[in-house]
Amino acid sequence: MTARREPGDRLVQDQAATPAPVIEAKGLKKHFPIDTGVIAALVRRGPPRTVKAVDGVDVSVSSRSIFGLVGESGSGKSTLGMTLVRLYEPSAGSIFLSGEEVTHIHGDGLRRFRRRAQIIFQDPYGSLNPRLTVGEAVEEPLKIHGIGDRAERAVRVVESLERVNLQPRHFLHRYPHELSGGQRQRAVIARTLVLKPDFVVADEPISMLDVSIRAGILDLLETLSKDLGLGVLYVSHDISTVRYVCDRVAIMYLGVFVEHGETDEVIDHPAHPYTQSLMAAVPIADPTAARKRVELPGEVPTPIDIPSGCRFRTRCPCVMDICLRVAPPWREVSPEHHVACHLYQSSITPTRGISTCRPKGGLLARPPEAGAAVKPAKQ
Amino acid sequence: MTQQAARPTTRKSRLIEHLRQQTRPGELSVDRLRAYYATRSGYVRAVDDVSFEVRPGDYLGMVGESGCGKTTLVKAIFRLLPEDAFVDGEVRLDGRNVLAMKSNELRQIRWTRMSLITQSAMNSLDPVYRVGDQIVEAIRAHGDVSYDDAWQRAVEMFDLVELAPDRLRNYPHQFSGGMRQRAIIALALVLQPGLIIADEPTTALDVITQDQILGRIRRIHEAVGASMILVTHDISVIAETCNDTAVMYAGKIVEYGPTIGVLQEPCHPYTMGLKNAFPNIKGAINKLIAIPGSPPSLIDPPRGCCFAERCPFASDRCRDLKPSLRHVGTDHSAACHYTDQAASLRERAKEKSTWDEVAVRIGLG
Repeated sequence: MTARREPGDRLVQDQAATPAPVIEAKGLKKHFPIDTGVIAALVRRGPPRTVKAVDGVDVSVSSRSIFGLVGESGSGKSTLGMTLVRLYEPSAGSIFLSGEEVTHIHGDGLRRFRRRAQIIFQDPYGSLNPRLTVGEAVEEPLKIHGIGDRAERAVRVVESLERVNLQPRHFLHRYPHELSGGQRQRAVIARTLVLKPDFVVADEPISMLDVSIRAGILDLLETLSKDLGLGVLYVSHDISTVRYVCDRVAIMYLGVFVEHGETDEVIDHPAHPYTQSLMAAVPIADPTAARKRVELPGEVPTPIDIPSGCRFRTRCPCVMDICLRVAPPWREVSPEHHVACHLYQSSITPTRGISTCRPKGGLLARPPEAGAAVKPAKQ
Repeated sequence: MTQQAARPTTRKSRLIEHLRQQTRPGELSVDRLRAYYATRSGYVRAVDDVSFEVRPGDYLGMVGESGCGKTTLVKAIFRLLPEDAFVDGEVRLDGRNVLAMKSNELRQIRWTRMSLITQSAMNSLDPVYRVGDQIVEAIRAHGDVSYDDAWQRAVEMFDLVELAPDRLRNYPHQFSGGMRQRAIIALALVLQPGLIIADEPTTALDVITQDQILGRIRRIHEAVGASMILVTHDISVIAETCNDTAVMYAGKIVEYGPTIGVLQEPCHPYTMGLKNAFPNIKGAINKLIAIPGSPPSLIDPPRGCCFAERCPFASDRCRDLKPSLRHVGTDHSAACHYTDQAASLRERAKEKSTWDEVAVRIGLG
């Protein structure tokens, strides 16, 4: 397989000041075999092909923080989230929860792990049982895990609903169909919290909600993370919401991270050509603002047949010879801001200046904009 | 090499020139349109007394949340609503009332005078026919054109939306989401309609694909000159694309005017709230503020202003009396009783505490 990461590669690690990571993965891979049927096995030559949804990712999320994971559909971001909470069996690599290896635990160990690592899905309409009231739905995980007696469970359900700003007296006995989308997503979050997890994956938690109520759910995630000390992996295709809630962000392309760092740093100074085009594609809600559009040619290649060398080379406006052959190693372009791109490799003292990538069609690097001045200057 | 690169552009520019000459920009005027769905518990007033117009060559953005009636509005304009829906008012396309047309007249103007780019490209293409045949079918249904000529036109259209002509022989499932949407755009343009309505054309697509599609729609609009309506929930898409904006809420247009005016100086509290709730990739990070509560029932809409329940500035007058659209500037109008105080309301709407009061008032706080 593509050995994208050599040993000794830098991990996504928080600064010494921040607490130890609540969840950590090293070299994590998740491959899905295809053409595994009897006929396919007879017809094909060679080993069965696989969809390499996650293909060697190092990630660590600390408690009391929200880690953003951004990528297009098919980049493997949801698979990564689901593998981290062990809904998928990892194909390679290891996962640690608070330092304890959980990669291959099963049975009781896995059950205990599930109490501590939870996931919120995109569709609040599909993730609540229509026949259970909100109270019953929130209580269910406690029953499954055999926590407390009836009275204790009732207390925890009420606490949990209060945490998500659903007044228990109004919502305890309501059914999901009586709730608006935002209220449903809050109920789902309450159900997640009732087990007092340490780590939560929020997989596109707001993309099915109306714009006017999204902010409330984002706010809630932020508050919960800070108040309860949760580590949250926020998976989204929408880089503009990431900016509002995430402390750190990683950009994913075709199963691997291409760039990661502090959110403001990555968004204000995107280094990888993919991140730059991703950012350039986001429309700006200000009718007077002019945006430099960069059209990326083609589409994301299939994760069955991953391009050699750098995975982005088939669409990259700055592609060089080396990109065809060698997978780019990680480079630190500024403190705690890492990028996997050959553009930054040759230099001994990497600086941001290199990001002035000049493709034939236009200029990727963007001039400093008004917004950058608002934030505290870095470096 | 260079020759190869140059040839398609000239061919394409010739095609665009041809389309431009063929296209007579449409003029749409919608007057007091109402579209109700009959349900067991009563009529759902999905579109309730909506009036607006699109002048030739205009690009109007229609923005609103799910359930505000924007798709029903589009369907009413196209006469695509179910038989038992109640539709009233006038939809004039080039001066002729679409709602009064007989079915054969309607068939003539659909696709030739107005066409629709729908939300889900998967559902608007027939899965068992080749994409090319579907385009050919549309061409031949509207004119005496031979199969080969029609196919040739389909090839040209694919060229225009940057799809390889041999892809015409593919079935829809062999296309990616972005390619399907481009095929739909080709289909929508092939008969040179004067008015193109795009209903959430990019909602299911990734940002990069969305950018490609919107860029393409806009370039085609600029080049061909057809009038356009873009329906979306995404105000940043509107901000970048449209000259005019109409904001819909609970089946009504609550604010309407030039995009810059509507988004820079909103005069309706709902537009102000929507702006606060919307994340932006650039500029200062103001905290996002949600609008508490949810839209009213369209079966039993409130007596007064439909936004009064969620509005931080609502008074008894708002709850009793329905505001009508009133002018607040050149071509800019808003349906609010307090448009005269809009400037100070705008300032107050920027504070989170203003909206928190609403949450307390409606018992969510």
